[in-house]
Amino acid sequence: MRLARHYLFLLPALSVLLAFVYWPVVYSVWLSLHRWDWLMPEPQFVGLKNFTVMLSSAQFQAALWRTTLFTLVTVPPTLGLALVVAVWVAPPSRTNRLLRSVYFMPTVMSAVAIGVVFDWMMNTEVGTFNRALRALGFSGVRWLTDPDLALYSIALVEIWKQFGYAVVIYAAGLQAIPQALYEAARMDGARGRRVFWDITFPLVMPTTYFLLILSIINGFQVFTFVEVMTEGGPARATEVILYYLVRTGFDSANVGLGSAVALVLFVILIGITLLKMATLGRRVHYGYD
Amino acid sequence: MAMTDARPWRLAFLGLLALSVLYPLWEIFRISLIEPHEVALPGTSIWPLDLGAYGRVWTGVPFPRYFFNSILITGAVTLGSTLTAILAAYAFARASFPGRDALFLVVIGTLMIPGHITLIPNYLTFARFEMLDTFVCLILPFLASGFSVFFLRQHMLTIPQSLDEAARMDGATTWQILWDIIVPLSWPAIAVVAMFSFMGSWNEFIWPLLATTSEEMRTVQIGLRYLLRQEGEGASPDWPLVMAGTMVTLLPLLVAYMVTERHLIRGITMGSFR
Repeated sequence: MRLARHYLFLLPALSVLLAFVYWPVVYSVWLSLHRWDWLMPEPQFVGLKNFTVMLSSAQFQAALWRTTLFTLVTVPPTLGLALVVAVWVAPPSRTNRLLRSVYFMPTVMSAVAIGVVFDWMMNTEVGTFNRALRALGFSGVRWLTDPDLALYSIALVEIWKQFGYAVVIYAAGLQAIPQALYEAARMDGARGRRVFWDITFPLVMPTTYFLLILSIINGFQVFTFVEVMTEGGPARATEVILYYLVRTGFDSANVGLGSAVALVLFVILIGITLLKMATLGRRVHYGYD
Repeated sequence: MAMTDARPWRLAFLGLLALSVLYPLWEIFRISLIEPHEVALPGTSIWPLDLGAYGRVWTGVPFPRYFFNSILITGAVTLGSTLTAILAAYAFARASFPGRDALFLVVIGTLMIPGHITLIPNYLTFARFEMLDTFVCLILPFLASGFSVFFLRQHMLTIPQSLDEAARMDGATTWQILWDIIVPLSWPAIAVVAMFSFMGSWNEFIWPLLATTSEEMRTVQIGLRYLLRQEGEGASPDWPLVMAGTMVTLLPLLVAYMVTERHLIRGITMGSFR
């Protein structure tokens, strides 16, 4: 009887997680093997057909490539900027604390609100960006309506939102580096860049690794900015993988195909996570061991 | 890291970066206080303040309804997920029973599962029970969080077991030990977990976007998205109205952030070194 009570404590949390996190994974596998839309009363087993359709679809390939590109152009600038800034704002002081909490603000803001304000600032006719460009004598840019530019404009917003989080995580990582190492380096006459590349950069590597994985996972799941600012346009130029999933699975109600897309994204993201766990298990190489 | 010489250009760069973070917030504030026809004019002063946009947000569109929905959903999710996490974390931290470690793995395993995989299946599940577009479907899937359970358990493990034993000697039950000893000693961790749920739930976008069909079930995030642009419509938005809506959407979180900032940042950095 006493033993049963322990399970009772777990019951609420576990039942929600099993029903709304684990069951969907299983259900997705099943759905991806079936053809089913709102018009059909019964799902029809089609084997791997959804996957072959998906993989040969030019739209899917383009969406997957765009998502990869988006991640490639957001993650390195975010982490690079954040590390440089973190080195400067990590030492405890009043100014630094204030700066850190300002940089962190976008992390708590809703992505919709951020999308809305950047939609305004990137507006071709009346937006702040173009107004500033024109005041400087340049001509305006079609930030969100030029198919060659829109994805990069959204990437800029993503960097704006994410870099403060990386600064705060980096600052914590930097504070964990023993001061003695810096003192020793100074005694040896090392200065500035030398100290950064020989001590800070290698020793903060575990944090970089953590942030890298997390940012890649976030980048692959970008959706809200696209939905708010461009709706996947212009001419599908910003249709990322999650947007494609929603368009096929919900708007076109092709549940099987949508689930196949979801599973492929799932496998990619789980793969990245497992890669992280496997390598972190062996500890990160510092270069000095 | 002794960066003794705070060079002026460095401070200027950091300051400029801070301004670029704050500037969009100023834009929201500024545009929300001017009249619609002034938007296209350069260098419009916000003076005299025009509160018309806030009036229209409150009466012209169903924003009060969105706001009510968001408060109800966020309140239920924050309270519910914190409660389920306290119970589960307590069992994981204090009891020993067959399958405990396996079940704990099941809980933290959810941290690896990306949210997008649940969209279609959960939609179909709620559709089968004809519960789409209800509060139940907007609240229920968020009533447990693997992160919250994990975070609280880690904290509870640091509370000395001797406190439990002393209380048990005095005749306290497991239930009493939880509420009279463990919970009061866990307040900082509980606050972090509650703040995370609050943030996550208030800002949740994709699920309410897909799971609501009627206007009166929308949350502020969905309401704001449609305030900016009706789907597939190219018309220029009423920018002051949109910005007033954005302001209303952001305010609860920014206030919560300012109050809990220190704890929140500590919680986030702790969470990253798991």
